[in-house]
Amino acid sequence: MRRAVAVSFEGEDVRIVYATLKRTGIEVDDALIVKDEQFDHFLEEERAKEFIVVSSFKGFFQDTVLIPPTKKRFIKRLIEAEVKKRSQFKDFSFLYTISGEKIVEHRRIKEVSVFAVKKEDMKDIVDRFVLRGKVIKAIYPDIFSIACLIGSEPVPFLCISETGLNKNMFLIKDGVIQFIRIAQSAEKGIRDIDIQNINMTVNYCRQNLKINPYAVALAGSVCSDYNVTTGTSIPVACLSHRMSLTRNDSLYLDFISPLSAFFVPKDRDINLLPGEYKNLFQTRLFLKYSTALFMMLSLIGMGYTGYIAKNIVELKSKLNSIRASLPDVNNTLTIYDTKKAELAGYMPFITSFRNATSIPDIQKFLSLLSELKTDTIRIDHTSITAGDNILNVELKGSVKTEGYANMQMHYQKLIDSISGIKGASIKGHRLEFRDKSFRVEITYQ
Amino acid sequence: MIYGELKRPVTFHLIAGIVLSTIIVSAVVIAKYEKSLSDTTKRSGLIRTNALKVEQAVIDTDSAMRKIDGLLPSYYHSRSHKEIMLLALDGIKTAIKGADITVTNFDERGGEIILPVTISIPVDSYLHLVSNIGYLQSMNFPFFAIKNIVIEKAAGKPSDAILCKIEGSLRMPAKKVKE
Repeated sequence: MRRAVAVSFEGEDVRIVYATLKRTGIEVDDALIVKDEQFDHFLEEERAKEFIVVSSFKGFFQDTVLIPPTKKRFIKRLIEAEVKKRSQFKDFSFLYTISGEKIVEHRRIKEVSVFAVKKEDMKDIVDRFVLRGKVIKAIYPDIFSIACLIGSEPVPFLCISETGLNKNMFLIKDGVIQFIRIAQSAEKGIRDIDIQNINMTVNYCRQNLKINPYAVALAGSVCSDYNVTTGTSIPVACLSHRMSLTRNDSLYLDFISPLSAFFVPKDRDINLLPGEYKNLFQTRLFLKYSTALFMMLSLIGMGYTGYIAKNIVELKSKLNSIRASLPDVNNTLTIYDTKKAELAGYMPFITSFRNATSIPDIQKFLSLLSELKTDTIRIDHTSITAGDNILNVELKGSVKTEGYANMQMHYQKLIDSISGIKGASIKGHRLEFRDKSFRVEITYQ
Repeated sequence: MIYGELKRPVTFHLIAGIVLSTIIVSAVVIAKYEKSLSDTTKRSGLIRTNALKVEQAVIDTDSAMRKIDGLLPSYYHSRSHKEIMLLALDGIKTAIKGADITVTNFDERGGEIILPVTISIPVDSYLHLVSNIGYLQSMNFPFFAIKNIVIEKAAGKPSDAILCKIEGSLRMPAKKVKE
């Protein structure tokens, strides 16, 4: 869903339609007619930036030209040269449609329907938008724009539309405009004189183009203003379209040119906007968006710079606080070196002290030994040898009890008691049943 | 010339470009300055921490030296090493009643003066024995390093007589403290 504005230049009037393009159809939001001399003021006041323009060009060239078979990329140049030769236009924009092929002197020739408009005619329109900072998305000739409403009907129709007092008659077949004629008229709408013009045009189509129009299709306001006493040689009908409009039919009839611009299929290249204007609009759009991007990035950059600046202020404050509380490092190091040298004189004492205190506490171990349950045990020999951070202890003695079972029980109690001493572990032990003697080897840490 | 219409957007574009470039350059410069300031702050913090650690180390060293000074006997600087050792030996003899003390010659090893001592103590009370060993282990200067203790029945004595034989050495640094 997007908003679009179509502007149609129709003689002294400019018709403007505001619409919302939806997937299901078009919703016309507003439609108005302004005088051509008021249009510049309208543009200045208008907030919309992009416009689709439909125009009825006064001086145009329309014909069917024949070109020899050639590569696709040369076709446009050939047509341009041919138009230049025939129309005497120097600088122009043109549309073309390959309408068929012919055999001329045993050669296959392409028939191309061409429509050309002088660039200066378009410049008058485009500059009005450019000077007011507006963008033209496309410029459609009104006839081609209305023709898009008919689509690719295989049956030829003579279509009649109105621009001011002029009647635009164009023959359309298979979606290709075969012939255009602008007939002047004394008043608006269809009158007897217009019927004569129509009948003459039908005859011309039959005789010169060898195409027999099936019917006359009236497009736009001519449909509602039809007051004649004579009839046409072929049936007459009002052009209707499957377009979905939320407004009434009179809107459709009065604003058919700007409305038809919304129905130009994307694949129909009927845009006459010259390349340099397309480039201008694209460049301006690019500059607009890139400037906006630069400004956005500038804002982000400023935010980032501000954030860093805030960090810098905090860091400076922190640094000042550290510096304020920093002791005199040189003095501290001098004192430290002096003390270190002084401590070196104490090192032999410290080494001796470490060596002397490297063995476990023997007094404590002997105290723990005295707490063993040794009621029926007699210890005859205790040997303690100091190792490196360890005491190797050997206990020898005998069990003073009757019976082997009791002897074993009391001996086991002794072993369990020793095992219970914190830091002590039994390395080996042996009980001699022969003489009830025992030997226990312990390490204590 | 239709491109004259681009003068205004091009001017805005250029101004926006110059502003953006200036901001980018400023941001880069200021970011580098912030990094350098951050490094300086971290290093300054480290210097302060280390300086405080060094100050604490000086206090600890001073305290340790005072403690060592307190452990040294009052006569440490007025007597020779050997005299100090023998005074300590006299102290052992006085402290452990009935002890039979045997000494050999002074020796000097690993920066220490060593006087090997063998002490034989008749054990009439286990409590006294434990107390005497505690005394030997608690000697501060010179130190008494116990090598071996044997507690057993005394040979050629009444059957219940027990003897404790302590092998060890009196030790002190060969070099004078604070020299």
